[in-house]
Amino acid sequence: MNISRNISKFVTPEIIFGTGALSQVGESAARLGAYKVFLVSDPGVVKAGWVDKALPYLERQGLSYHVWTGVSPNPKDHEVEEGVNEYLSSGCDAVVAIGGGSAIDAGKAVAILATNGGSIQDYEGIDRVTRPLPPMVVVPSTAGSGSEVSQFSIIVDTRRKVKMTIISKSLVPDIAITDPLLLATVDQRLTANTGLDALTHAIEAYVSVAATWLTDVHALSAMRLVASYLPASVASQTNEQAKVAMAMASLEAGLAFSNAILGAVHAMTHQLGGLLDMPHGEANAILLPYVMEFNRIAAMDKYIEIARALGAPVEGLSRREASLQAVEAVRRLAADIGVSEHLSRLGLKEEFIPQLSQNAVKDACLITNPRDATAEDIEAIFRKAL
Amino acid sequence: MLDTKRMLIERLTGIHSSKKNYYFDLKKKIEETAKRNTQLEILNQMAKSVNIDMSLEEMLESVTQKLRTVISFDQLSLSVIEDGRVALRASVPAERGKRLPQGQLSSGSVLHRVAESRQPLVWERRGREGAGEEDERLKAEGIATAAFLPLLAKNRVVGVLYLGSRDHAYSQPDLMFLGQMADHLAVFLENARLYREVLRSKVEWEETFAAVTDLIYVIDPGYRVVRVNQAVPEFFGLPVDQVVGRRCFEALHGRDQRCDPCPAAGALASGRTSFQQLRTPTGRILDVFSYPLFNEQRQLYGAIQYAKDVTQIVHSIKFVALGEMAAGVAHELNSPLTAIIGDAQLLLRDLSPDDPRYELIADIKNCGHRSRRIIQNLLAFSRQEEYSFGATDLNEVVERALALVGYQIEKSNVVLEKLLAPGLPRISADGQRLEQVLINLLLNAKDAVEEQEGQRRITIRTRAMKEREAEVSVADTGHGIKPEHLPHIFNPFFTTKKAGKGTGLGLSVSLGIVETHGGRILVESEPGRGSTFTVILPVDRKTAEGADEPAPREGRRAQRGEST
Ligand SMILES: Nc1ncnc2c1ncn2[C@@H]1O[C@H](COP(=O)(O)OP(=O)(O)OP(=O)(O)O)[C@@H](O)[C@H]1O
Ligand SMILES: [Fe+2]
Ligand SMILES: [Mg+2]
Repeated sequence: MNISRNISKFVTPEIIFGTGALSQVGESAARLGAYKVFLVSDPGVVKAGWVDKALPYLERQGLSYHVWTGVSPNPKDHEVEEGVNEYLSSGCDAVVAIGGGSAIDAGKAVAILATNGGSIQDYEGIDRVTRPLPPMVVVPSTAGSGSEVSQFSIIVDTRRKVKMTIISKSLVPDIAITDPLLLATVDQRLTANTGLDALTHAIEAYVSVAATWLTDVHALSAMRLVASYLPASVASQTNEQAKVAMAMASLEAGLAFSNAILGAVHAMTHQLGGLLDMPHGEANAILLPYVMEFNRIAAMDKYIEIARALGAPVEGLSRREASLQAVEAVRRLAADIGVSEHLSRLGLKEEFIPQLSQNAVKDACLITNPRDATAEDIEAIFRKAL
Repeated sequence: MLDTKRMLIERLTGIHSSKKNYYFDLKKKIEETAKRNTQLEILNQMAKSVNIDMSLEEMLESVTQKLRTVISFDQLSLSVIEDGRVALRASVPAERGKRLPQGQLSSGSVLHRVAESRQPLVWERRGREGAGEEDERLKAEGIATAAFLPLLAKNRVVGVLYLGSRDHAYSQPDLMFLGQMADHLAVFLENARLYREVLRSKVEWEETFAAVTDLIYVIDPGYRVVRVNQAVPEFFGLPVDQVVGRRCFEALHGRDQRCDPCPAAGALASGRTSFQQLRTPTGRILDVFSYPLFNEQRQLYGAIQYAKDVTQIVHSIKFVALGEMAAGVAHELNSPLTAIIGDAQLLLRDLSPDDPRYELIADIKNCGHRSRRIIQNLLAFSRQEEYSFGATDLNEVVERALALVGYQIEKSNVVLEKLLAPGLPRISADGQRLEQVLINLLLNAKDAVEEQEGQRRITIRTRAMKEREAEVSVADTGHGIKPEHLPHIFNPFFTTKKAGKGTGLGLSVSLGIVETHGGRILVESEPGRGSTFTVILPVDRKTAEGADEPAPREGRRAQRGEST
């Protein structure tokens, strides 16, 4: 239990959880005072039929809506701009986001601009939002991003080719609806990647210098759930128990990292996503063990707890051995579900590394990383993971 | 380093931040709305006071209190700019106004800059934008932010509104509101200017109207007089309140029915300008033009009557015609009259007065003289005949006149008294003409006493006056002159005598002759008791005329007015 900081804060939305919870989307929006909903989604989710499924729930509450699906993975600044124009011109007064981390982040960004104006670049960094956002209801369609409960939104600045991290309490959605059924339509690879993203969230939050007893509880619980159910979830699209468990894991990991923030993995993958449009979950999955190796000496006891949570044998081992088990456990899990070990497979080239490392040390996520990391340290990690 | 890291972490985990609250936002919105409402109220109040008759100062005073609730200011002033000059119209606090420059607009002043650019200017103590000559004063007064807003009327800057605050910075919405306020003030100033202009031209017209010596009056369709110029009451000798409000034919023409013809009737009926010549009860001749008046709906609501006194003109036309005729007739009648008078005298010389024919022939001779007098009067009237001035003894002139008409007078049972002052100074005069004057006066006197009962007396008297003047008076015990006739007796053709007896030329011609001598005629008359006509002549005509130019006019007024 973390007792080093005696004043802490834990922020969370209202959470509706359960199989079929999607049915609550209309009522939730109506309760928040919506008349016309701006429904943000991505083409994949539409194809899976979830938007069509959600609309009657809105209609039943007498809500009108405007559907916007102009979001790509790693949402871009210009997409957000188009989104807010549609929001304003169609006269919407609330945001409902159904989708993966990208759709939810885009929905949050549109919400910022809808009431605060300006361009999304104006809000990069911590606490730049000045006016309340429209009511937000968020339904995640993948188990991993944690965006449904977090105070983060990550948007690509296409001119600078970097991911901007926008952090504000106002970005915490009003209501998060987690329906494990939505996870059933996700394919194997995406299930694996998002699952490891959730695991990354849990581990980074757990070892974060800003971790609190409340975030620890959720982080450890998320780790246990991932270790127990991710392989099964990857293995079968219809394993309901595994889907429910992964939904829980994602949610809890989200609660943990939203409040304890992240670490070097995310500082680095934000750069990969910005420069190479690399899939976030997969990049995390590859980098996580290398960063863990680097960070280990900063939080050995916590690493032992991680190893325990992931089900690795630690009894009878030295502190060092035991803490190394945490890294090994992550490697084994990744191997089990078929995640590659090298970033070059995802398009990283040697020559990008110095620039990426320079940018990574400026990323907000690095602040809470347990071990101080210079650009050279980051470069070394990138090279190992290449 | 450690501290910055701790601080960053604190910010990241957000111990000191919360989700933005709508209640908070709403409260701010409501405050803004309330403020905006007050602003609108102020603008409204300003707009309204344009209509009710309020001065700029009063208007500003009435809104200052409210203004403080919506915008913070420590100083406020309103300067009006006209023809490159500044005039301060209001200042809060008032005593600050005394320190502000007025008069010629200095080209280095901030007001000049705002007037030139027609753009609002915001000055900040720490800002880059200077306020020119005002910079020092603003700093000295501790002003942090100052806003100068141009008052634009028809794209022209007519003034500048200034607000200054020691602790407040004006926001964009503040400036927008101040801009609206400036617009209202500009309208206010512009209206006041237009009103002054209208008033000035109205006064101009009224003065013109009053100054016109012709008669101008406005009547409504019921012939009631609505307005008159000064000439109207003067001409008719009536106070204004006896004209305005009464019907024109009653008030001005003394009738109980519309005049016939009536110029206004034509204009009111046809809606077109009409003209008539009218004769007043006192015998004046007026050319009356009537112009119909229309309102915006093209409805007739009255007529302007413009009347010109043309009596003189009409008469002078008559005189010219008469003169030409008289000259011809006189010439033609002169020889037969000479023969008639001469022959009658010859016959009389041979007859004794006891002869029954004597009377008849004397009558022929007298009538001849009478005819000649009439012809002479006509000639005198119609022509500027050459005068021949010479040193003249007034007593001699009297003797000659009496020689001609004395017998006639005495014959009709009148006592003729002759009181001639000895040693009268000789005067410069045309003896023949003065003789004509005296004959006219003596014959008028004779006519006046003729029908009187009791004593009939005519006294002719000469006197020297103050060395410089000589006078001759003719007094009678006749019927006198009615006061209403008195102003007219010197007018040509004015006569109260029956046709064939008087032409109305005698006094008119006489006055003309006396005035040519630089003299005047005084009249005293008492109805039923008698009249006295006094001719006053300067001893030396030249000095009298040259030394004192307006004397004859005054004299003329005196002679008309005096009666007892
Ligand atoms: N001595 C007088 N007493 C009373 N009325 C007089 C006297 N002298 C003049 N008048 C009045 O003034 C009028 C004008 O006199 P004026 O000598 O000009 O004309 P007239 O005697 O009527 O005619 P005319 O002299 O041309 O034959 C007279 O008609 C008369 O009414
Ligand atoms: Fe993530
Ligand atoms: Mg006469």
